[in-house]
Parts: sequence; C-alpha cells; structure tokens
Amino acid sequence: MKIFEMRQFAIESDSKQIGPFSFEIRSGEIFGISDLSDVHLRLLTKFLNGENPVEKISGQVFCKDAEINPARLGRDLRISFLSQTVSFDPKLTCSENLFFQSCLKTEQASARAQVQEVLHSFELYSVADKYLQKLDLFSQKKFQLASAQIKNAALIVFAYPWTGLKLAQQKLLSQKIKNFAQQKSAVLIFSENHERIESVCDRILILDQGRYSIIGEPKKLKESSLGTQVIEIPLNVQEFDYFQKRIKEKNLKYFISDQSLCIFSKEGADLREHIQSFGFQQVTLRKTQLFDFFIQNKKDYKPELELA
Amino acid sequence: MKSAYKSILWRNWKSFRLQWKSEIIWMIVEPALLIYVFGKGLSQWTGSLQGQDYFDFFSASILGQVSFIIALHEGLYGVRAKNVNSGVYNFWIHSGITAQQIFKGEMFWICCKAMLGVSICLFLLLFSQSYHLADYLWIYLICLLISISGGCVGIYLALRFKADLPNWFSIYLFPFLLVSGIFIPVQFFPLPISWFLEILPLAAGCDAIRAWTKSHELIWMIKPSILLVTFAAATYHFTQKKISQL
Repeated sequence: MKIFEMRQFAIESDSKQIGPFSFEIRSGEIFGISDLSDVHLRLLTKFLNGENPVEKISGQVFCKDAEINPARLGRDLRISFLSQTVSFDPKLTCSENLFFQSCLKTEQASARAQVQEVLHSFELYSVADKYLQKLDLFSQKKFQLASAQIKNAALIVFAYPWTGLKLAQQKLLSQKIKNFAQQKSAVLIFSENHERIESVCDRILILDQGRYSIIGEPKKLKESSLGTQVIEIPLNVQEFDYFQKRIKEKNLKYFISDQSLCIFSKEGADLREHIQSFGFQQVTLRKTQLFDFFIQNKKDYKPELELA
Repeated sequence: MKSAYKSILWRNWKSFRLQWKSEIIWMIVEPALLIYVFGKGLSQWTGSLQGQDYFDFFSASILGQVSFIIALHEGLYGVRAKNVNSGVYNFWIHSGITAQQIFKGEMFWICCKAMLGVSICLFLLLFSQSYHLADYLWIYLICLLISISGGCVGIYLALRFKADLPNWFSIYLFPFLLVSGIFIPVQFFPLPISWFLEILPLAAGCDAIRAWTKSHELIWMIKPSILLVTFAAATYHFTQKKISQL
C-alpha cells in the first residue's frame, strides 16, 4: 500500500536548488535520501520540518492519497517528523513527555499502560524519571522513536538518525528502525551516513548537490552502475596521468580516493587480467560501497588537484 | 478535543510545581507587601477618596492588579519561554495539538493561575475586610475578565515581539500601574487623559470592583463593566488570530 508520495518536488532557496525528484514509499518500507553535499540535505530537512521558509516550491506531496502542505510536513498528524534536535518538553521527564502525548490519544489509564509498554520495548525504563535534556544522545533518539510509536503515525520522517552516535549505538538504532517499519509504518530517512543508509534502507534516492541523481535498491544500484568490486591502487601524481589514459582506453569506471586510484570491476570480470595488464605491483580488493557511487558521481571532481 | 486542554493544564501545573518558589513572589509576597505598605500604611495619613476609605479603595485595586499582573506575566514570559526558548509549542504541535487549542488551553491556565492569586489576596484581606458572598462572586467575575485581558495582551506581545520587548517590558509596567488607578483614581488626571485612562482594562476592572463594594448599585457598575468586557473580547479576538501563525 502506498503511504507517501512526492511528485516532481523541487525547492529553491538562497540560490540553492533541490530536485525535482519523484518517489513513493510503500507500507513497511524504509526509504533513504542522501546527498554528497550535506548543505542541500540539511536545507531540505529544515524546510520539510517548517524551520526554513523557501523562496520557491513546486510539485506535490501526498500522504495516504491526501495532498499535504510540504512546508508543514511535521505538523501533519499522519506523519511523525523526528528532527535532529529532539523536540520535547524540558519541564517534563521522559515518561511524562510520553504520557502527555499518549493522553492526547487515549484515556489516562490506557495512556499509562501504553507508556509502560513503550518504555519497556525501547529500553527506556531505567531513564523514565529523568529529564530528557540530561540523557545521552542515544536515549534521546530512542525517545524520539518511542514518541513516534505513541503518535501512531503512518510515516516516520527521521532526519540524521545516526549523527553523533557510536558505531554500536548506530547498529542498535538501525535495528529499532527496522523493527518499527515492520510493525507499524513506513520510514523516510535523511542521512549523510552512506554506510548505514545502505544497510538499513530498502530503497534510496541519491542527490548530487541537490539535483536528482538516481533512485533504487542500494545493492542493485551499485551492481548495475558500478560493479561489485573495487580495485584500489596507491599512486602518485606522475603515475596517475599514465594510468588515466589506459583506464579510459579500456572504458572502465574509476575515481580517486585518499591518494589511490579506485577501479570498479563487475562480478565475473577477469580481475587478474586487469591487474596484470596495468602492471600493478600492489592492489587492494574490496566490495563496492554506496560511498563509491557518490564519489564516482561527483561531477566537478578534480583528481589532479586532489592528488597534489 | 478536551484531552488537549487537560494535557496543557496538567503540564503547566507540573511546571508550576517545579518553580513555585519564584511564582509565590507575584502571588503572595508582592500583594502582602502592597496591602501592608500602601493599604495599611498610607490609609493612616489619607482621608476618604471618592467617598471611600483609602484602604477600601486600595483593596479593590490590589485585587485587580494581582489578577492582571499574574495573567500578563504568564502570558508574556510563560508563552515566550514555551514558544521561543524551549520549543514546547513545537513539541505540542508535533504531538497533534492545534494552535487554537494551545491558545485556549493557555488562557484557561492563565485564568486559573490568576484566580489562585486573587484567592490568596482575598485571604490576606480577610483580616481587615468583610465581603459578602455576592461581593466574592462579583470580584471573581471582574478579576476573571481582567485576567483574560491581561493574558491576551501578554500572549499577543510575546508573539509579536519574540525577542526584544519582553526583556525591558518591566520598565513600562510601573508607569502603567500608576496611570491605571491603582494608587489614585484615574479621574485625578486632566480630563482628556482621564477619559483615555478609563478604557484601560485594569482601571475599568478596579472601578467595577469599587463600584460594587462601595455602593452595591448596578448603575455605577455598567460603564466600567462594559469597557472591560469590550477590551477582553477585543484582545481575545486579536490574540486568537495572532496565534494561528504558530
């Protein structure tokens, strides 16, 4: 079932243009939006949360087939917008904040029961009586998810869920997000964490400096456009010019990262032949990551300058 | 959606309990000092004022002043803190409470708080004043209208001047009290000015309380009551419009 849809959506603000792009999110799906430029992504999330007014907006946004105002996405009752700065009442404790939200939906007795259940499922029981501003970031993020569960929204928009978290916490939060999508509703994630977005999201929309780039499943995207493996070769500036010519002759996709040349290779391709034909002495083989796609897709990339 | 109003009231009561030590200054300490210093103190040197003992005159003033100041402060500083400083309104709106519900819920809380202040003030006045049940009813009704006016003015200012005005608003407050007929009747001022001052909600409210406690004649209460109701209704209407911007 289709939960959320953006049709030819585009915004323009401070001479920055984002979009146009179109996508839809189905029930139980986790959809991610990422960009190599964090500036554009932040502008988009701030606009959708109603924090930043924009000069020009075009396109349509739908939630459960009803058109909604894109600038007031977070205020729509069917959508729970979890922004980077956690929205809560500093005068109330963690459980009181949840109780406040729950009381708006149900009677007091059932609201209490619901809060107990949510606190238990999100492992927030130990911090239930603490003020949220005194909690660590991970607990605050879990509180955001817990409050979204109480709100019982059809779509959860989560902006920068993993920012500021440790790796282990990122994994735990990812698991919570996955559970959430399975049980309740669809999830839309905005993040610059390419590795995490690749592992969590069912489909992703990749923006290039705010412009629409590509949309699809992360695994298929990598395999179809780049290949399954990356050959990393450490090079200096003089060597690069020589090898660049030869790579172009063979029509291979490549990019420069951390003073090394990275060549994409499809599964089944003769890697040994590649390596031997170039005469490389030392190479590193690894799986293709979504991050490679971003670097490779960067239009104004200057490898010579980067190497120098 | 009654639960929204109940939740707002519950939240504000929780917050009030956390910071009751600073709140009692407006509710107990200041009225008690004013009653003692200006009411008891000055009445020993002043004669009757508009056919009333000065203490009786000032008792009506203090009731109006307490309800107005509490409502104005809660509307101005409370709303600004929730809207700008801590983002509580943002949380409420994300939780599904509409701007109109926020306004009505806040107004309900402001009136409750102002009435609590008036009750404390009436308790303090018990030792020197003897009011009848009808007096209490009239006083509460007028103070309610004053607190609606004060609360609406406070909320409007908090929304209109998000950053600057509330910081130095206290500077305007004392001159406002001086010209609102708290210490001396507004009729003391030259004619064109006194006509204007009579329209002020606090002046009209105090006049309405005095008119009842002095003579118990309806005729004297009509003019200030109409002025007060008009002011309260107008501020309520404009603030309700303003809050839809949230």
